[in-house]
Amino acid sequence: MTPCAVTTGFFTLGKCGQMAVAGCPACGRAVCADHLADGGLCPECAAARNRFGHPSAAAAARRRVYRQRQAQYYGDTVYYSSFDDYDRAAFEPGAAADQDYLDDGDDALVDS
Amino acid sequence: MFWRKQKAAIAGFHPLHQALILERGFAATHPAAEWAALAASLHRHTGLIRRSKWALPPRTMDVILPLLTEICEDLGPKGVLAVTADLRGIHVPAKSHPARSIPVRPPARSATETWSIDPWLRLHAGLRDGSGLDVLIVDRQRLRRVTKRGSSGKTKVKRKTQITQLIKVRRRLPRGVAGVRPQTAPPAWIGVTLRDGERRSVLAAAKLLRLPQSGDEQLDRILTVATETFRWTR
Amino acid sequence: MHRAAYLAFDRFPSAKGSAVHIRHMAAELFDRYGGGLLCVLGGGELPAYQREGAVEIVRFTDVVPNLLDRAGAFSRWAADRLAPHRDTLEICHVRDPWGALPALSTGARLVYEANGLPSIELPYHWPLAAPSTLAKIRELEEHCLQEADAVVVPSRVILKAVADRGAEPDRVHLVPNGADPVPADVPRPPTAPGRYVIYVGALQPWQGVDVLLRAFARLADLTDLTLVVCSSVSPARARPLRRLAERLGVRIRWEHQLPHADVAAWLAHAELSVAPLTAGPRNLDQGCSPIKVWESMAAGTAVVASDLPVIREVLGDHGRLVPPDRPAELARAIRVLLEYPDACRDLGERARRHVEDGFTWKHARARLAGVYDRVEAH
Repeated sequence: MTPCAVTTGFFTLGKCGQMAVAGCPACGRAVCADHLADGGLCPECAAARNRFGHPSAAAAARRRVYRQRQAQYYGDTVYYSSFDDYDRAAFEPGAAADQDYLDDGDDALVDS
Repeated sequence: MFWRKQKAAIAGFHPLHQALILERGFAATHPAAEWAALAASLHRHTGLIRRSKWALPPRTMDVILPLLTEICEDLGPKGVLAVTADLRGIHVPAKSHPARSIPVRPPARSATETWSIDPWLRLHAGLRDGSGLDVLIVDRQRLRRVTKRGSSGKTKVKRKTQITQLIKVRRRLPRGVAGVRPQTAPPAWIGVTLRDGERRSVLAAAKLLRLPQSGDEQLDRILTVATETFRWTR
Repeated sequence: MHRAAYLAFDRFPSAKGSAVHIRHMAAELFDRYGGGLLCVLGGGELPAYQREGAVEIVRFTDVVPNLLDRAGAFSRWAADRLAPHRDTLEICHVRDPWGALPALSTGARLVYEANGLPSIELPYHWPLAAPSTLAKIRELEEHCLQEADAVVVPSRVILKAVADRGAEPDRVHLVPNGADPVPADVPRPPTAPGRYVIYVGALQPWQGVDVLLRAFARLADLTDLTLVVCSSVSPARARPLRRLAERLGVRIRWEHQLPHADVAAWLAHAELSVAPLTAGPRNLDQGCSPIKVWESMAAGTAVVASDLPVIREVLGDHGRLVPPDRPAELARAIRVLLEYPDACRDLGERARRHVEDGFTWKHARARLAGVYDRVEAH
């Protein structure tokens, strides 16, 4: 079973986790039947396109606005990005493509 | 009889919605689904009710409803949210302490001071991560009434009010979670204290010297204070 | 109190092309504003604090294993470093969203230099990153790009990628990378083999070094020819490619983390320089402006490179283009050029003149100065 990867919650973020029935055509994340917003998009992509028909799309939009504003009030620039444990797990040192990269840590986000 | 259709409409509303209309407040504990039903009922209000006596109390649609919606997002399938809302306003006699006279000097003849305390929203939610969230919002008004006598002997009564708002949020962290102090400090107007015990609590409190002027601002302030308690855990 | 700040989530100085880039861009910024604050990553022997004239260099040295956490911690750390200069700060120059967030919070003007986009490049190193995570990173990029007062991009491909992320077209400026001309009489490196073909750069999968090794295996009959790989990363990280080279039996010489000043000599005395970039999304959708190609051109060495839009833009017709990811084609192109040394020299000379006439770092800095002029005028 592929779990639904839509972010739920407002203060506490988590993944929905129900059985996914489709993939969002815009960002590719797995979406369950409850979270399938307008046009088969995931709530966050629907919100980014100003389509708030589905309640979870409206919730995603409100959460985004809220996080952005709180990041400003708190000077906590990272609160805005709202990465959860699921997002972070992919960036643990052991998850790198090539274990040989570990010894001197390729820090850069991009290469130029 | 009069207002027959609107009375019938009210009878069809959610019980808490009816309580808001008729008693201007409610106290209830429900899971997220029930609060969603209340929201659906409230959204039908403007289309059906026109009599001003039965209008929804202020702060219902622009503060309480959005706040409940957001907190319900975090409730999870088993969590419940308890809300005590009293939207009668601060000018209800029961909310005022007795007037107290305060010392004066001429030309004032006498002065009284009255404190009114209006805890208009109190809520408790058991969130899905195992933490408990409490929110308390209190408006406090100081009313001073001064009687003055001018040189011509004319007596004037002046009144001054000062109104402040307290927002207190407490989050009891889940069992066994210690939390980490966030790297950046909260805004200066929010105070944070920790209370250790069987479960650690993070308390955030703010005293606003000026009442928020719009529903959006009010909601924003409440959420900002609540945010601090959630920055302690990831 | 500083008027300008440059933030980069990247180690500086280092042997990588990005460090060259940071050095030149930051120099322009700090010359213009009479010094400034440079916030970069530390590590190794680098001091956490350094002062060079009016320029203060502060380095982030916390050990945070998780990359996302590290980026976040860098962001907060940078916000703290910027806070004392809040009142005087006029401009912030950043290279990534994690630098842009603290810069945005200061209220200073923001110049976002988009050399790459983490949402495209990160999955190469971190294959487990979920699409939803990358979507969040992309949103972050979009937010920062839309808020920036100017976006500086090194190539047209990346300009398009940036425009797709909502940056306003009239705020996006093209500032190609460059290279400093190499004097014609630069001495031959003492350890250089007789005749050699050179690759300079990092060894990420998109660089296509494996394609080059396979191509070189087909040139085994040219017994006097050696492949020199000047790797900007440590030997340990070259291990998979070294194993591949051994298996293919390629005559190869590894030079690891040479100081940037020495690389020019190696380039100038090579027969050919190769840039075998692959045709993956990193090169096709995101784009880049490979410094190795610029520097080879400046050294007057003929370049054989993959036929990609980004390379065409840099190389034009001053080099030899081959289809990407095709070792046989690459081997044939190298062989043909080695057969005709005159044509090869001519190609190198033309490339050198092309760089000297408009694409040295001096030119790049002048273009950047133009961007700062426009940002100030707004």
